[in-house]
Amino acid sequence: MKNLKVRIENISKVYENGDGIRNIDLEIHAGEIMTLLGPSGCGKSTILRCLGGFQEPDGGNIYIDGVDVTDAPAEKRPTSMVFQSYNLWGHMTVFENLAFGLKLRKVPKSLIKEKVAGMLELLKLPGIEKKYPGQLSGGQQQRIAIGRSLLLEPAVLLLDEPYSALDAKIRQQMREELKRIQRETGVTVVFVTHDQEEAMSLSDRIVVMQKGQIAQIGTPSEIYDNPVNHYTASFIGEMNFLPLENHQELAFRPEDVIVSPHTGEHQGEIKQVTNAGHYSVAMLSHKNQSIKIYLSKDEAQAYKSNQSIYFTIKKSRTYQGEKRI
Amino acid sequence: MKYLNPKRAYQSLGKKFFFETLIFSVFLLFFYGPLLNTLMLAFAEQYQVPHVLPTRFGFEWWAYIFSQNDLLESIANSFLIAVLATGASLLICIPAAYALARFEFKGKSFFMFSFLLSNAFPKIGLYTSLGILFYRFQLMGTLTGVIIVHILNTMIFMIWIPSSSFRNVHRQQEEAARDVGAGPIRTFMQVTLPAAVPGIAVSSMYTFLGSLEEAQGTLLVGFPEIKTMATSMYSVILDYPPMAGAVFSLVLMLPTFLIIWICRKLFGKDLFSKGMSL
Repeated sequence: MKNLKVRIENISKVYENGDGIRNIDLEIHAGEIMTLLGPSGCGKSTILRCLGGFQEPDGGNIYIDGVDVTDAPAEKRPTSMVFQSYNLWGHMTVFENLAFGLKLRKVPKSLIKEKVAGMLELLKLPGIEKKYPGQLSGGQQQRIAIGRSLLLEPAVLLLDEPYSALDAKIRQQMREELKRIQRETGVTVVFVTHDQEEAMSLSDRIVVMQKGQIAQIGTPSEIYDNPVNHYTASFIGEMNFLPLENHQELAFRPEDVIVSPHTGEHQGEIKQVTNAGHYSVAMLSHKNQSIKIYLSKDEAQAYKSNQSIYFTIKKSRTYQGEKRI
Repeated sequence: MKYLNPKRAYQSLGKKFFFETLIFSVFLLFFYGPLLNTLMLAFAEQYQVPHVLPTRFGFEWWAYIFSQNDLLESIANSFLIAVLATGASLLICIPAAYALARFEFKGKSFFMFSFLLSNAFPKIGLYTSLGILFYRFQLMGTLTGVIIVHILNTMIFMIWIPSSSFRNVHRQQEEAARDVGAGPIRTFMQVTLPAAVPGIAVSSMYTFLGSLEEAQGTLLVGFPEIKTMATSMYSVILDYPPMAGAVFSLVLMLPTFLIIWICRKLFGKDLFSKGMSL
């Protein structure tokens, strides 16, 4: 039975323009990395801010380690937040930034020095105590911000799109860093992002959000292999949708299709083949619908534009009555 | 002397540059002339008609000024009032500036605009009505009264400029401090205030220097009990020869130069552009 770290019970917070969250119930297990995934305005940051104490919910309760923290302000909660930017205080050195929280808790000076040095080792940034944030790169700043939060040994580490302001290559490195640090410290992490690739590579569980409601919760494989509705299916990875009768639609992924020049369930015409490196993407036209299919390098050689081919769908799901976006 | 001929200068510099140089020289003379005249007068010991320049230079008038007790008292008063007015202004205006930066409330824009109003018209009308109130509260001729007048003059600086400095401190910086466990007051003192120091430094500097030179209100409210350098200047000009006035005005100008020079060294030459973003 997994240890329950955080329980969010029936939380709602609605803003003037109608955005926000309604009746959210969520359980977060100890030591897991949970990601809240969704587009802008879906409410993921709102949940995070309610958890951290920066936003008062209109209703509902939040329990951390079994204690009701709903009325506690940010400074009294056992959570620690890393924002997208402007985390570190520019007029303080790295040491002062890291030591700030420990000084508040009246930790003796020698112990502070030890802990800060230890954290910098963990972050693989030794010896930069005397530098100012302005002298560090964006990635280094975010790592120090995470270090500052971890030094306080929070019950939950909250991250609000911390890598969105960094470039793609650094983002990938930071993801690996975070996973390594989480493995070594065992801290519970709640991560917010709109980048589905980030969610898939980082999380133990993903919460896909749509317009203030939870669309699906599951492990990355569960969400990828068995999306329960049109929204989740189209949000993660690539998905084709074919309308069927009775307002139903057939959903299948480009890699779950077998193509052959002579035999198959359905027939279609190749519109375009695009080279994507070790595989190719073929756009097919079938009953006036556009379908995306992945072809291996060899297959791609065999097929050309305007060629008529057959395809068989190996794996699919059927959704009922969803409005096409 | 042959080459000092204007015609030669004209030919060598070219028409456009020649006239630009001419106009610039006239401007420089116009701008710095009075200052140079003051410098000359301050060190003149003997200056009589029909000579154009002083016949003897020295420190006679400096010794004279510094031997007058009431003038020395006015110099001390000026600095005392400037320091007290700046301090009190900081205490009143900085929290107000922070509130205006972070909170929304009804009538906020009118409130901010109202400070502009008090500076948009000749102050003498304001001071006259202030005088009536001061007589009622027996503040005329007191140090408190003079300091109040000085604070009123500075409020627009001390609220508008720090307010925009506070607004430029990202909310997330404060939230990060609250998250780490700091209460609201500690967050303000250790995170918000240090980040807003350039703007506050600029406004404090303007407040201090403005207080040193404030004459109208001080004259109306403080005279004759409270004398500052600015108000004593009137009597010095009237009662003493021009040399004494020149010395006194240099004494008045010196703190301004010093403070601006020190601020520029301490905060860098971007201080004024950083601080003055309204």
